[in-house]
Parts: sequence; structure tokens; C-alpha cells
Amino acid sequence: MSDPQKFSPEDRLGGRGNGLRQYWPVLLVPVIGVIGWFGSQPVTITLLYGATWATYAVGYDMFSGFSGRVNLGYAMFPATAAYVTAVLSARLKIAPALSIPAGIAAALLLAVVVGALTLRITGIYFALSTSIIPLALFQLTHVFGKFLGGEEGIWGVPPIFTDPRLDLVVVLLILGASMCFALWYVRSKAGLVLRAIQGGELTAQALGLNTFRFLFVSLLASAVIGATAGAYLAHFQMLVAPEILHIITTLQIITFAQIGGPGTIVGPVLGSFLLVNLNEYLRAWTDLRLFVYFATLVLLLRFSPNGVLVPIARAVRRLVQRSGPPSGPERS
Amino acid sequence: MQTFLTILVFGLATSGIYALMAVGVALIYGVGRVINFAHGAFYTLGAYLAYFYATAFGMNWWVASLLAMLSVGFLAAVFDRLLIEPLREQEILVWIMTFAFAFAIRELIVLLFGARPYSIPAFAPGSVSVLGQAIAAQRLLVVAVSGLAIGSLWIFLSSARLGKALRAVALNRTGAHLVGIPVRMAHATVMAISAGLAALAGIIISPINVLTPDMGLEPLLMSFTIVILGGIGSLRGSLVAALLVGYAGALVSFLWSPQLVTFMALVMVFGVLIFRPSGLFGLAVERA
Repeated sequence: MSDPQKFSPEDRLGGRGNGLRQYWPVLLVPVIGVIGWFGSQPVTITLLYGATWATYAVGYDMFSGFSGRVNLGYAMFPATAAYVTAVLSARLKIAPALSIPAGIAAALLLAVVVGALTLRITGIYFALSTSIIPLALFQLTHVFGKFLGGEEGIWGVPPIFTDPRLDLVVVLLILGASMCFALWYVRSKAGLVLRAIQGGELTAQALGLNTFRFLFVSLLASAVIGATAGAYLAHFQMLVAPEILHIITTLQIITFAQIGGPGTIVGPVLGSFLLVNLNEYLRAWTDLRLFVYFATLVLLLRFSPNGVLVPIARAVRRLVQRSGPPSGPERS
Repeated sequence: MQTFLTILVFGLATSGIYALMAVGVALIYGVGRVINFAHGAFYTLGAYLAYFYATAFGMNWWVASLLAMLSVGFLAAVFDRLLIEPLREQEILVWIMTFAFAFAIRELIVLLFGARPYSIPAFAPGSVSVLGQAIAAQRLLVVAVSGLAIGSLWIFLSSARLGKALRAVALNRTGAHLVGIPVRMAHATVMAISAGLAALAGIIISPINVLTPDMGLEPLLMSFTIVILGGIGSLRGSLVAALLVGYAGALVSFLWSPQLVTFMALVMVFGVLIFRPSGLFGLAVERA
């Protein structure tokens, strides 16, 4: 599990408190919106995918980053929502206004089943058992290839807007709302309990906390966040490909969260935009691109294992503290 | 009778390949506490390197295969020492590292060989008649080689001095360190041996399948399945589970469709994880 002692307490989102100050990172969202709105089409599209991945990363982080339970099958939530809305709207011609909520509801239902079955298992066994579910769903999309598209996926999902800039606005609204919710949630009592579970689940239980209940609710919330972004993804890219169910999708989300700094909500968002953009700008390298991408990842992990956000934040704070007059505590 | 014989040999060959992979995954986890997502990459790399040595330098296939196994083993040891060791205490980072490394290797293969599939001539051409049923000689070779390799690994772990040292590390890292076993060397050694076995599996199966950059994905998935079924860290459990999964797979693909094999294996594993998280054979790290 990620080692809580590697972070000093003020690096993580610590303590409780619901002042407005804690929401300032959400200001990042309108900034990205402006860049995407006035940027060229490729920039808009890249940010569109970046925002989708960032929303997944927020959902992943608010459960796994705080409770320490690695959900190695997180992709099942966005994927289920995407598949359900795609089948309903492309195959059965149901309006997206109905099919998207249906997709989210399906992912929520899956989360209820998965949570009830797996949350009592701990450590590596939890990670492995969650990782299996999307793989099994992947096989199902092939077994029922006629209906679920098999290898090709489902094409012809109706778009909501024709202008990708409007899609970007919607996805950024989803991202902003998810960030606000997650930032509020992890500072609430539930967030404290999740961190207590990471510190030691038995101790938390000994304090009389129903840890299962908190994990369960948190898993459902994280599923809804990912599902909303996943359902919308199906509509703006007008197709669902089975690759979304691959373990690689989840590992990529974990990578984004880890590079940004897990357990911070903001870090995973920055990590997603950073890596999605890096991947895009490497396109000029054609054949070398993916190799350079993964080699960079290996080196980042080796030399900055706690992500890039946390060390940078630490350095900035040190600079500020050195130059400015001593002020009160950093966080309220 | 003939169908029975075919299923017997097919199942045994598939089980052999799975076992070669799964034993490595189990060893790396048992000794080094690493969930190695790069194991499929070692399998793929081994097959490509053997092909490369044989065609570029005109080597004999057997020499090329041996050399490929050694190269992959060496690379794995370096990987373990330089990239895994500094992160070993942080489990999630190790997962991401093995995953990123696996993809770096995959992309390197695409860069060097291209994404197109290669077909490889059989090392053992022709077919052998067993009780009136013609069976491809290569498949029998797979059975023989994997059986031999796993047998020698077993003897190595149970009687050789080094093998015992490795088991001691799996049993208790601190204790092993106290009696003077170089624990870091043990981690690297296990990674090298396991990667070599994965390379061997990739090499001997490549004439039956074809070489593609993604050929390692399916055996990686199956070996994880097997290791979970058999109980993480138990070699004996992994071997039994490999036979179980290999034969279940052969039966299902003969009777219904090959597409169902993975799905059934995954459902099986999920059930085991829910109801008996430590696997069918319990946790038996200490036993070889």
C-alpha cells in the first residue's frame, strides 16, 4: 500500500474543515476551459480526453487514494456506463437523456454487487479480485459479440453536440463537480474514516467504526463519478471500444493518480492532464512515441516515486516560508 | 479414444506453458513480494530474441534459444536491481513500474521488429503417431521441455544450496538476512530464473502460435489466474492449478468455443477469491 509516512501531514489533505479555501484547486477547471475554447481543434480534443481521464482519476483517488484499497478494476465503472448508454442509444434508439442516466445507474448497480462481494477482502486479494471483473466483462463483450460489438466495439453512438468545444464544457462541468464533491467528501467525517482504514483497518474497527459501510459508500460515489465521465465519453467519441475494459485502462488511471500524488484529489487531475498532453505532444515522434512515453514513466517512477505534484508543492512552500513573514498554519 | 488422446496432449502442452509462466509469477511474489505484470513481456521478448539470434546470426535453434533465455534472465536481473529494488516497499509503485516496463519492452519490440506477426518453423517438424493418432511433434516437445524445466527447478529449489537460500528469503526476509543470505541478490536471482522460464515458454510455443508483440498478454492473464487459484506463493498449488486450468481450457475449447475459456477461468478465480481468498491450497510459501 502507498506508504502514508512518505508524506508529511500537510502534503496530504489532512484534517477536517469545510472552509471555501479548500476548493481553490477547482479554479483549474475554468482555466482549462478557456484554453480549450480558444485553442485549435486538436488542443480541444486533447483536453477533452484529458478531462475525461482526470474525472476517472478523481473517482479512483477518492476511494483508493484515501482508503489504501487499490481498486484494480476501476475501469469497470466507466466502461459499464459507456456500454449501457451505447447499446441503448445506438442499438435501441433511446434518447441520450435517458440512456446516460441508465448507464450510470447500471454502473452503480455493479458497484453495489462488487462492493458487497469484495470489500471484506483486504490487501492484495482485494486488488486482484476487483481486477478480474472488467476482464470477465471484456470476455462477455466478445461472447455476445453480435449485440455488444465484440472486437470492434459499438459504433454510431449519437453525439450530443457537433462542436467539440461544447463537449469540453460538459466534461469540464462533470470534472469540476466531481472535484468539488470529492474535496468535500474527503474532508468530511467519512474521509477521516477512510484515512483511518488506510492506517489500520482493525484499529478503526476497534474504535467502533463500521468500516465496511464507509468503504461501501465511498466505492459507490467513486463509481458514479467514473460512470458519468464514461457515459459521456461514449457520446462524444461516438463509439465504445472494448479496450476500455482492459486492465491497462485502470493501470493508466492509477499511473495518472500516482504521478500527480495519490490522496490529494488535485494531484491525480494534474497528473492526468500532464500525461495525456505528454502523450499527445510525443506524436511528432511517430514510432518512438509510445516507447518514449513508457520510458519516461519508468524514469519518473524511479526518481520521483511520490509523483511530481507533492515534491513541487513542498519546494514552493519552502520558498514561500523562507521569503515571506511567518504566517499562521497553511491550511485551515 | 482419439479425441481423448488429442485432449490429453493438448491439455498437457497448454498446462506446461501455463505452468512455466505461473511458477515464475509465484516465485517472484513469494521471494520478492512483487506482482510482476512484466512477466508476459519476458515471454514475448524471449521468443523474439530466439528468432533474432537464429535468423540474424544463423545460429542453431537450440543455441539461439539458450542464448535468448540467458539474455532475458540478465535483463530481468538488471530490471530488478535498478528499477524495482528502490521501490520494493511501496507495492503500488512496483505494480506501475512492472506495467510501464512491460510496455516499454513491447514498444521496443514494435520498433525493432514491427507489429506484423512472424511465423516460426517448428524445432521438431512433422508429427508422431501415438496409438494411431497423429500428433504434432512440436506439441510433444513442449510437453517434454516444460516437464523437464519444471522438474529441474523443483530439484534446484529443494536440494541446491542456492535454491534453499531463495526459499529461506521467501520464508522470512529478516531471518534470511541475519544468517547471511544476500537478500537483494536473492530477489534479482529469482527474477532472472523466472524470466528465463517465461522466455523458454515463449520460445517453445512460438512455432505453434505466431510471434506478435502482444503474444504475452493471454499467458500473463492465465498465469495470474493460476497463481490465485493455487494460492499465492505456493508452487505446488500453482502446478496443480496449471493442470486444472490447462485441461479445463482444452475441454471447453473442444466442446464449446475457445472464447469461453478465459471467461470461465476468470469466473472460477473470482469465486475462489471471494470464498477462499488464500487459494485452493492455502498459503504455503515455505514449501517448495
